[in-house]
Amino acid sequence: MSIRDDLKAFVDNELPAERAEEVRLAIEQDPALQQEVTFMKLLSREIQESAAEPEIKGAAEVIDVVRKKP
Amino acid sequence: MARIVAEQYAPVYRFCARRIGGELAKDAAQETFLTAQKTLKRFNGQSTLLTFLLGIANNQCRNMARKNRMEMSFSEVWEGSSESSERSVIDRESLRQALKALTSDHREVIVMHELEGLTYEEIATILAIPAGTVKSRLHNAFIQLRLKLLPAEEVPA
Repeated sequence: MSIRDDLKAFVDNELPAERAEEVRLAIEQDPALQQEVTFMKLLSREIQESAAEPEIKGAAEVIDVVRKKP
Repeated sequence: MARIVAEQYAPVYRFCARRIGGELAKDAAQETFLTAQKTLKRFNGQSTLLTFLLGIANNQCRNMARKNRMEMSFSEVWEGSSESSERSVIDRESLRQALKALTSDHREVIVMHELEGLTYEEIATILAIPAGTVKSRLHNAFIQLRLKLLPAEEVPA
């Protein structure tokens, strides 16, 4: 598995410690990987900030319904 | 159960609304909690309570989507959202188009990880797929987005 294949999981803190360290060292030595990591983080932020947030409706009603069920 | 609903309704409702829209989300959320009420004994604490609830919600949403002959495509998650702000480096419309061009499997993991804040393992549990599949879907989704959003010369081979 190449370093690039693990970049997203590295950014997401989803790699086992040993592999994360390998990827971290590779990034440290490679400006192209550093750029990719920066872009991935940026992309995550934009994806989060540009999503519409659903307005929460019906909580009180559902609480009533479950209270009435045994 | 009323206490659990009070604490977990918002993430369950949001999860449903992103999949089948606001109109049906309340019914799906209600069915989720009613099912959980019956099956809570089966909850073994190996995952979080929210992951357990979202696993049920995912099935409810799939059933409702089927009944209503709709697709859980996640393509509307970014519709009607705000325009680019000063902080934005990526044009919002280009991002929306790039997200729309992904497969629904790819959008699904993006929604679950980036918006719902679930870990790879939690997503795997909810979707009943291996965590490695979640990892590769997210990796591939980000590659596709990068290809759409960056000029060709900036994309490494």
